[in-house]
Amino acid sequence: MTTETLCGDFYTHCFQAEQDKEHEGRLIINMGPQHPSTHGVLRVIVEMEGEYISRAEPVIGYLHRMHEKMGEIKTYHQYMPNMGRVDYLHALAWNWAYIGAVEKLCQIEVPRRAEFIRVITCEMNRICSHLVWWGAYLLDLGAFTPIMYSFDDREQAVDLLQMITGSRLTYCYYRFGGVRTDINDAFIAGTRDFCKLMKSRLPMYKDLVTDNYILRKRCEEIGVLPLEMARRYGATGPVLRGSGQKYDVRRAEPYSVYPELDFEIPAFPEGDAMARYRVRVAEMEQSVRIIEQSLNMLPQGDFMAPKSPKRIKPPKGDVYFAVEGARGKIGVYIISDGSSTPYRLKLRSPSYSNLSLFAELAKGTLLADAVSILGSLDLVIPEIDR
Amino acid sequence: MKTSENLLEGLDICAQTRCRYEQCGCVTAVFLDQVQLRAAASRLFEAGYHIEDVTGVDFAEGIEVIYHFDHFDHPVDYPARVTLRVLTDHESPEVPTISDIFSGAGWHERECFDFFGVTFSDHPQFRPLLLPAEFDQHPLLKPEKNRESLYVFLGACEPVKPVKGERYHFEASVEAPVEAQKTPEALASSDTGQSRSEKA
Repeated sequence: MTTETLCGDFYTHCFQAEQDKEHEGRLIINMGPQHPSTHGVLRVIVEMEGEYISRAEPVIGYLHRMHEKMGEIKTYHQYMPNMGRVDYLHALAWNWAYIGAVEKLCQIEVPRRAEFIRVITCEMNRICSHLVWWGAYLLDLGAFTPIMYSFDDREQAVDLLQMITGSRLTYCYYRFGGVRTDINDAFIAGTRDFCKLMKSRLPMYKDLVTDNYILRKRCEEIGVLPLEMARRYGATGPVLRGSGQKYDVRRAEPYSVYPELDFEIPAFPEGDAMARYRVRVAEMEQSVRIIEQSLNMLPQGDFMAPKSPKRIKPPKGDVYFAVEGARGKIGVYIISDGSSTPYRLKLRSPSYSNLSLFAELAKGTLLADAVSILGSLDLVIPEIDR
Repeated sequence: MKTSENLLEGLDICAQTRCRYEQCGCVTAVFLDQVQLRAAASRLFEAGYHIEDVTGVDFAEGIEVIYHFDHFDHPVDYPARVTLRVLTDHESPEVPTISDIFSGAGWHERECFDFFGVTFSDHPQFRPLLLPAEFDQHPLLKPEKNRESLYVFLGACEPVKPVKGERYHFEASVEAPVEAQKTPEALASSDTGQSRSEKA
């Protein structure tokens, strides 16, 4: 075989070069970067043995925007809108991770009311994110109807968030020392209605989809991820909890008012795509619980610390701050040199670690199952590429 | 009680300092000699840690490669986030890979190569990941005049805890021994994890 090098790009060539001598002649194909099941521009090169994948390698970077470099150029305030654009589905968690890191660095106190507002909005955004995943994953598996239901529900939550944050997707709502605007009665009433709606919808989804025989066939015992492997790759979030580890940053490294709230961390030990599915569906329930509690506990007071600094000039030093996003542990690491821009800003995105295990996980599975596995990892490509 | 000191005991730790978890988000941060890196990573792996990220920072003394680890279970008296730091020079930055110990480090190391040009020796799939293959610059390297001394940041930490040996006796000041370019000295934060456990 001498003709292979005539086609393909750098990554295809590297992938071909790593082919075993005895497997020479096996078909190498590209899945993506515009494949509908890769949700954005993810590309996976796969080596096929008949219908089975013998080797796979994700190729990323098509959406790379160098957020970390922008962080070094922009001031602390100017960088805030970037955070809504890293992970467009759970933008508020990224907001929080960055704001939280700077607050920790500068020792800014956040009023209690603002903490509760952050919890409410962040959890609503988590539900939105999971709903999009839920619809899109089922769409990948060939079920068209669920995405209509999920976007219908999500619409309500997005409308509510728009009411107070002013945007529908790329939020930039948290500020150093609080939030941009206070929540009003209309939002509170609307949120209570939304919680009620979700409570009636989730059992319906269970009947409609979760117990569905076809779905189970596509998910159960597909892409079994052992806990040991999840740890080796640093997987977090629902991917990890689908392997049975009850690890959630909200509990492990408590921040904000989460220690005061009563909620469970759903975890399922099977490790397959179905377990990851169940974790996310159960998380929506828990998020509803958190929102309802927070609404009941919401104190009066400031939504923004009165003494919050207008210009941020943190002291020299470094800080690591992690929050739990819809996809796992979001970490922001800042090294400050005392000036108005960070010396170094590192974003740790959960999908990045979660996707890196795909090559090992996909080995020996059917190509059609690889679609199911990719979907069950809940990838957001802009977050991976940053 | 298994503290970070026990965990990394016997390793050639250049220096470590005290920083509170509340302040900097990690309970232990140590500077290691490059040759000790893999040994330290293995110990963390055996102790049940997982990798969070691998990243770099461009300092005047060289490129510092930073590894963050965390623990899923962290029992009450166990340290959670551990930071390892190694220093490599600007001319031919090279650090041993830990991707055979923590598979997840593989991608982070490739990213680190993209951004800083640090080579990770013995990495099985060492090629660009986020940046195009034909792009030959490393965007996070700073122009020489913008590079700050490592010791500027070390000075911001709380009292240095000198670890065995005169060589590592380190005063947390800007005038610190800058001539020791190739051997990574110094420090970072550390705490016994006590403040952490109260929260958890």
